[in-house]
Amino acid sequence: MTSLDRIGYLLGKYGDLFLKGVGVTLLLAIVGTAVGLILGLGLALLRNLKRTPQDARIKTFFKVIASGFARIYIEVFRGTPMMVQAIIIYFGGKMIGVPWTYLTCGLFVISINTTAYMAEIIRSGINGVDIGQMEASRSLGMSNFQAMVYVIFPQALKNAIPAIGNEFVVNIKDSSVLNVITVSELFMAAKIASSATYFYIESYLIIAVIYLTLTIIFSQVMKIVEKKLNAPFVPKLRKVFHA
Amino acid sequence: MPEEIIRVENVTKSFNGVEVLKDVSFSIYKGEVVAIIGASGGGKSTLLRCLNLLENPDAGHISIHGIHINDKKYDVDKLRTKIGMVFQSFNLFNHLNVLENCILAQVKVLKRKRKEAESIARLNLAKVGLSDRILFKIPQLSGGQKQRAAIARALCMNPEIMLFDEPTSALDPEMTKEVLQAIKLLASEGMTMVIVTHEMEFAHQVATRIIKVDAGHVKE
Repeated sequence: MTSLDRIGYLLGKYGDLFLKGVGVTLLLAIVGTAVGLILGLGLALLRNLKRTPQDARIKTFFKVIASGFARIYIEVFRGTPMMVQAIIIYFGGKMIGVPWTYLTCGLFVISINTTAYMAEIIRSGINGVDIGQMEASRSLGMSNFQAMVYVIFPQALKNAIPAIGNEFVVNIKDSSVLNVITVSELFMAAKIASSATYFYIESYLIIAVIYLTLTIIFSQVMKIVEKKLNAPFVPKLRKVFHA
Repeated sequence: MPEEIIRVENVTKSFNGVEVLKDVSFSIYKGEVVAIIGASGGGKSTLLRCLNLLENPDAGHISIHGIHINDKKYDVDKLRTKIGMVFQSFNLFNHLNVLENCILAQVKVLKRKRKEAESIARLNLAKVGLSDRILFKIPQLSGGQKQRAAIARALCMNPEIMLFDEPTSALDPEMTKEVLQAIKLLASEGMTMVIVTHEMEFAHQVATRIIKVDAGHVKE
């Protein structure tokens, strides 16, 4: 039996398993990136809280606590492997009675892990926005929060789009570590197929090709999105001159 | 005697141990156009930025209509709606078009209805001669147009007083002219203004009073 035969055999017998693996992997990447982005925005906001001399003492106290929390969260989740986080969170959760399945726990882990990375991505996006934007907002009477939400974040988000897209592609690949808590994603599919057939190289070659295809497709999609966003704005002249 | 709007008393401000403003005191009265001149790095901009608390003075008092504003209890955001500010580098909101730049703070801060805010925005944009540019994105404007848009944006908040921080320093002479014209128009309408500038000729033309800031000290 040649390698090609083996691959054919694997695809025939475990095709559905691989396909389901692709579905779960994409689900993990999409949910993880989306939830991570939303929570990451909040975390970046907390991380960026600045004390001002006008603040009451209680406000200063909460600001210090909140930004301290954000800092520790980011440090912990970026400083430990997601594989380790998955095991601790899954069994820790079980211990205190969280009724989750492998998949829901996997979704949870990848989301809160991505949150930490997104917070840093958004933060560097925020730092890329000129300080004058904040000063102008404040000079118009906006609160720090309003300025953040209506002026700084929209621009920071645009700055961060390439990095956000990259995070999605990274998540497609990194979700594979969730096989440690037996989430049935693509890596798990190869693990099952290979241990049943002993066709190790072929099983993992199959998923390597699938991972590569997915990442190439989504990298290209991101490139198109970026291009669209940077396209120069052409005003509809008629509208402008009648305005 | 016209009504006093801003009073600055014994204000001191340092950055990293360097005293930029030393015991500065002066007043600004309603309807005045005050030009602040002086050498670069002499504290002109810092002085202006203290007036709406973009910089907090280390010592001294700033009062508006007799109320100390650099007090912890004072609502700075509310104060700032009454003080329009125009920056050297425009600082227009790059993600919004010209019209939206003028609408945002009206809706979010003054809680005006969108429709009302839009008509106020159009009015002020017309005043600075930008009626044909309202739907343009910021990068499509020339420097002079950007600065006029920034003036319109500040005017939309119906400020009692306008602060200009070197409004023409980033502009070439032709564009400087159009911005100065807009400022002159405001002066003719009786707007109280404080203008930090290097344009001596303009200062003499428009200003009712010239304040010279030199090494942290103020001379009239």
